[in-house]
This record gives sequence, C-alpha cells and structure tokens, in this order.
Amino acid sequence: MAVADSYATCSITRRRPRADARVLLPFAVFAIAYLVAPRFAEDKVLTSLIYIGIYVLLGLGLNLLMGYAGQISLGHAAFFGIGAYVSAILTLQPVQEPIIPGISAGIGLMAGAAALISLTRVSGWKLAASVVALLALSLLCHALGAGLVFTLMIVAVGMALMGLPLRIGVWKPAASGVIDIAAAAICGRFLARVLANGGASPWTGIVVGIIVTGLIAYLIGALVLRLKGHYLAMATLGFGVIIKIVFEKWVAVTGGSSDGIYGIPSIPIPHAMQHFFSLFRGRAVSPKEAYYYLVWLFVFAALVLAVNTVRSRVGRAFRAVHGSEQAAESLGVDTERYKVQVFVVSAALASIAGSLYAHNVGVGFIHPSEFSFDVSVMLVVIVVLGGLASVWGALFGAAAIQLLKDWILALGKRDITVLGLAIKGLDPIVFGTILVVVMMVLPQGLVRGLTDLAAGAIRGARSAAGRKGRQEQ
Amino acid sequence: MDQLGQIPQLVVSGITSGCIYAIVAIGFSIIYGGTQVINFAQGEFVMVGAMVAAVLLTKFSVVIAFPVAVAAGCVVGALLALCVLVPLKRASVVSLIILTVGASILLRGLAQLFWGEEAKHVPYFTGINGAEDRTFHVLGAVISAQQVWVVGVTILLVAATHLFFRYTLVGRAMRACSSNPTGAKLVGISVQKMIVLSFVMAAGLGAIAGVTVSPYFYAKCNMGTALGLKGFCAAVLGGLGSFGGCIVAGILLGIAEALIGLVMPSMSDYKDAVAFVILLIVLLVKPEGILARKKVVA
Repeated sequence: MAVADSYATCSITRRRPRADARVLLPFAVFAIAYLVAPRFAEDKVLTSLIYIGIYVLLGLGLNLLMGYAGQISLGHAAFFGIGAYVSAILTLQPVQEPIIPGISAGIGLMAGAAALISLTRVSGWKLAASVVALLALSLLCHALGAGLVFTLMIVAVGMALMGLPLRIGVWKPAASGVIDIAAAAICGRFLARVLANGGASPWTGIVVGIIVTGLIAYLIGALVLRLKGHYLAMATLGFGVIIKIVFEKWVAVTGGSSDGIYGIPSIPIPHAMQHFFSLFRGRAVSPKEAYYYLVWLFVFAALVLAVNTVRSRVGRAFRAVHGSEQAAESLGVDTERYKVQVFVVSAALASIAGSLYAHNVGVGFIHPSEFSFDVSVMLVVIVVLGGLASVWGALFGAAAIQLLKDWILALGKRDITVLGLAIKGLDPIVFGTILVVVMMVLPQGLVRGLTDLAAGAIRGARSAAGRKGRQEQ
Repeated sequence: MDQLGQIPQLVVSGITSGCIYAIVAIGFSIIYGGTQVINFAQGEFVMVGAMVAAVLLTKFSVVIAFPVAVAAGCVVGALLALCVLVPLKRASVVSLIILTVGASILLRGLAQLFWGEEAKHVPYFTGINGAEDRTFHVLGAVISAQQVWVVGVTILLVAATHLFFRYTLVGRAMRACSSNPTGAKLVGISVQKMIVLSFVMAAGLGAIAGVTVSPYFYAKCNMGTALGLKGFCAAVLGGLGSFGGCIVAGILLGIAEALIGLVMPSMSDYKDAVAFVILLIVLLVKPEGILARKKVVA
C-alpha cells in the first residue's frame, strides 16, 4: 500500500488531484450557511455580516500575498481605497473638465510603462529614461496638435529609436508606446465621458476600479517587489501613506478630508438575481439582504479562486518563492513574475472590496481616514489571526475583527471609565496587543499555531502513554 | 525676489526637522545593527518622549521633565526589546515586522487613552514667558532659541553616540555583536544584553529628540508614525548604519520638504509625501545600491 502510494506521488504522468471531499466539504457547508443566514440574522447582524464579507475579500488577497508568497504589504488600504474612490467618483459626481485629459494621459502612461516593464523586463535608470521619453513624446504630439494616428506613429518611432541606445530592442519599446497612446485615447473617449457626466453604473465602477487598481499595483509591484523584508514593508507603507495624502489633498476629485464623498448609490442587483436570492430567503429580499447576498457571492468566488490557486502549480510556485527565492529560481520558477502576479491579484480583490464598501446599502459615504495606515494594520491583523497561509482562516480573522470592533464601539458608547480614563477608541490598543502577543507566542498565526500546539500535545500525550505502557510491560 | 528672500527661513526650519529625522534614522541604524530588525515603533519613542515632557512641563521645570521623559522612553525601549527577543531566533522577518508594527500602534493607542487626542502645547525651554521664544536674526532668517536647542542637542547626541561606539568597551562590544554575533558570544559578550541595550539607546535617543522638538512641533499622540517613516527614509538614503550618512540624508530631507512649496507651489499640499516619493525613486533607480550596504557597523 505504502509503495503504491509513493509510486503514485512520484509518477510524473499522474493527473492533477481532483477536488476531493476534504476540499469540497467546507464549500458545501459555506454555501448552505451563506444561503440561509439572512433567515436568522436580524438587521444589525446583517450589517456586520456585510462588513465581514468585505474584510474576508481583503484578508484573502493579503493572505495570498503574505501567507503564501511571503511578501509583506503594509499599504493594502491604498488599494482598498483606490477601488472605493474610483467607483464612487464614477457613479457620482461629474469631475471638473480641466482634470480629465490629465487623468486619461496618466492612465495611458501607466499602461505604457506597465507594457514596457512586462515586455522588456527593463528596470532602474533605463526604465526611468524610457518613461520620461514616453511622456516627452506624447506631450510633444499634444503640443503639435497631432491626430491620433499621427501621434501613434511618432511615439512608436520615437520609442523605437529610444530603445537603440538603451539596448532594449526596437519593437518592444515601440509596442509599449502604441499601448500608451491607445490606452490614453480609449480613456479619453470612454472614461472622459463617464467622468464628465457622472452617474455611471456601479458595475462599471467596479470594473474600472479593478483595472485602475490592477495597473497601479502592477507598476508599484514591479518596482518594489524586488525589495525584501523590511525594505518591502517600508516601501509599501510609504506607498499607502502617499495614496492617503492624495485622497486628502486632491480635493477637486476626491472631495478632500473635510467632506469625503457622500450619497454614493448602492449597486443595482439584477431582478433575476434578486428572484434567486428570495427563493432562499422565503420572501422578497430587502435591499440590505440583497446586498449581503451580493457581497458574499463575491466572497464565494474569491474563496474558490484562492483554494484553486493554492492547490495549483501557481500556488506551489508561490510557496517556493516564500521558502527560498534562490532555490525557486534555480528550479526555473520566474520569481519576479509570480510575485508581481500575486500582488496584482491581491490588489484587485482589495479593489472589489473597496467598491463594495463604497456602495454599501444605507451608508454611501467614504472618507480618507477609512483608508489610513491603521486600516492596513487591521488587514494584517486579520491575516495573522486567521493564520498565515490559510484560506479559510481569513473567514475567522475577518469575523473576529468585526466582532471586536462592534464590541469596542458598544463599550465606547456606554461611557465606562476605568481608573478615571474614558474607555474610547480602543481599536489600536486591542489590535496592537493581538499582534504583539500572537507574534511572540505563535508566529504561525492563531489558528495554525493553536492546531500545531494541539497536535503536539496529542502526540506528546500519546508517546507518554506509549512509554508508560512499555514500562508496565 | 520676495520668494528668494524666504529661502534662508525655509532652510532653517528644514534643518530643524531634518535633525529629528537624523536622530530617528540613527535609532533605526543602532537597532538594525544589533538585531537585523527594522523597528517600526521607532517613531513612537519620539512620541513617548514628547508626550511625557508635555505632561511634566506643565508642572515642573525642564531640569526635571527632561530626564524623566528620557527615562520613560528608555523603559519603553527595554520592554519592546524583551518582546522582540522572545521570538527573535525562530520567527521570520515578516513576523518581526508585524510584531514591531503591533507595538507601535499599541503605544499610540495607550498614549491616546492616557493623554487624549488633541495636540499639546509645550513651553519653550528658554522662552521669555513660556508662550514666546527668544529669536535671533541671522542672514535674513529668524532663528528661535528652540531651533538652536534642537540643532545643538542633535550635534551633541551624534558626537556622543559616535564616541560611545568607537571608544568605550560596551560600544565596541555592541559593534562586535552586530558584525558577528557568534564570534561575539565566543569572546564572552552577552548578545542578548547588547540587543536590549541597543533598543534602550535607540529609545533614549528618540525620546531626547521628542523632548527637544516638542515645543516647536507640539506633542501629539499620532506624531510617531510620520516621524518614524521619514526617519526610515533618511536611514535608507544615508545607508543604514553610517551615522554621517543618516545626518546628511536627514537634513537634506528636511530641507527638501521645506523648499518644495517654494519650488512647486501647487505641490505644497503634498509636502508630507516628498520623503516617500524620494524613497520610492531611490528604490526604483538603485535598489541594489541600497541593499548592498546592508552591513551595519556603527
């Protein structure tokens, strides 16, 4: 039997393991709980469940990055915020005209730079030089008032010529120039109209949010993921702080820190979907219940994605990168590509969570302070509580955090004083204590650490019993 | 012409904040040298010093408030060192980062709980009547006595730290630990004690900086995060471990922040982002240059 097993593991022709009961069972339990929960949940609980769902999306993404690929991000609230702001702005307020061409050009430039990085693998000063060239060429064409086709040609030829002295080829820089101008032109056509009119569908907002967040994550990831450990942590932290400052100070677009954005509409849920949900609810669903179903539908999809990714070749590559980048590279794993990929996926999940957060039923309000460094830390707490490298742990971590937050809020409302101090705003103390204690005692994370401890204790008890038995003999 | 006239004044205020960044950067370097840990709670040491001083200075004179605040900072540093030492050997870098981040927000939360959220005004050390400071006019700039204090204390601290690491037995033992812990252990140096000492020193330096700067910046419970980040920028720009580099980078950073509003008026809102943009650019253009100077010998 043992021989057959090891033969099966060794055989290279062995097929991918099919989803077995151990994988499917949690999903079945989850699906049932998901569908029947609103029957038993009162309004307050439903609100908490919606937030838990949003945190699960964030926690899952961050756990793929931190737990599996071993890359830390202390700026994940930025992606959460970008998703929220992009879809809120698109659905709501018309943006003032003069900024729109700049936004289109900026997105075009980001697309061009992303293409440049992925096509030529260029980095350092060469990348800086080519991006400056892209910018200069497009500005030149703009100043000349050239049409789209002419601009495309000039930028493509210019980038091709630029590629020669930089020794990065001719065709690839030219292609990235074309992508730059094309993306800018598409944004100029489509996005500019949406921005100028305002009031797009939230579904559009979600999709555009994912694209914008993904682009930014790709660029930031390609730059900072070469760093390791502390440097990466600080670079992502710095990125998060910059984005938060932008939310606060770019008043013309984001509303700034005095007002924030309010009156954001909720997501319209198709009738067929509502009908489907009401089958499980037993009666027509209220807007809040419908929103709960929607959020957790995204969670369900994200869980499937995460479980499949972790069990696939890609997931094994992530873990190899986590274990040792050099070893992974020597086995042919393109570590840089995988790291950027997981960064983008986790940013995209954060962006979806952000859009869902912004369009939450009955709230419809976002403010820069909701995407601060403290939120990034809270996301790390979710991952740590649920256990690094544990997909289902994210559910536990998110639920624990939301319950803690509810509890702290309730405590703050009761005006309790201990030793003459008003007990209010305890979040940082509680979260900080959790992080310090868990990392000191169980660096694996709570769930994993506890199960390891339990397994160790059982093993210890068994071997002790075995010894005792032998002694008695 | 009017704008040019502002330059000396801006440079002076830039140097003042730059000095604080430099001290925080040196704190990063000391702890990194001892443990290979970047202590994300570094900025909170400054906050602890400033807040304790702010509370004490309302009742006592500087002579009492200063040492007590610094002692408080050192105690916090020692406690943090004990927390870090428990998992130091078996934990990954990510775990240690999370630990110090947790300690940082814990300290901030406690300060908020005990001392409230609002900014505290701290009387000047050598002010005329506490509310107003003495000023000097030099080369078209108005320099307050507190700024002289900040710069003077920074110079003194840096000189003292340098001499400590170069000439005293303990300082050399700490250097030995940072360059080769096993070797240091073999010749009878207690590595653990040196690690605790490095945290206490970094915390003490931070607290001194906090006390000195508090009359100038106000004391706030959330001042630590930004200071810690900017100090880290200075530490990376200067090459972790070189004290001279930390000072130059810190002061340059301070001046750059002060001048950005003058050079690009539209960007003055984004003054706080300057340090991070510089950091990201350096990481983008020359990441290997920064990573290559990992070796930290004070």
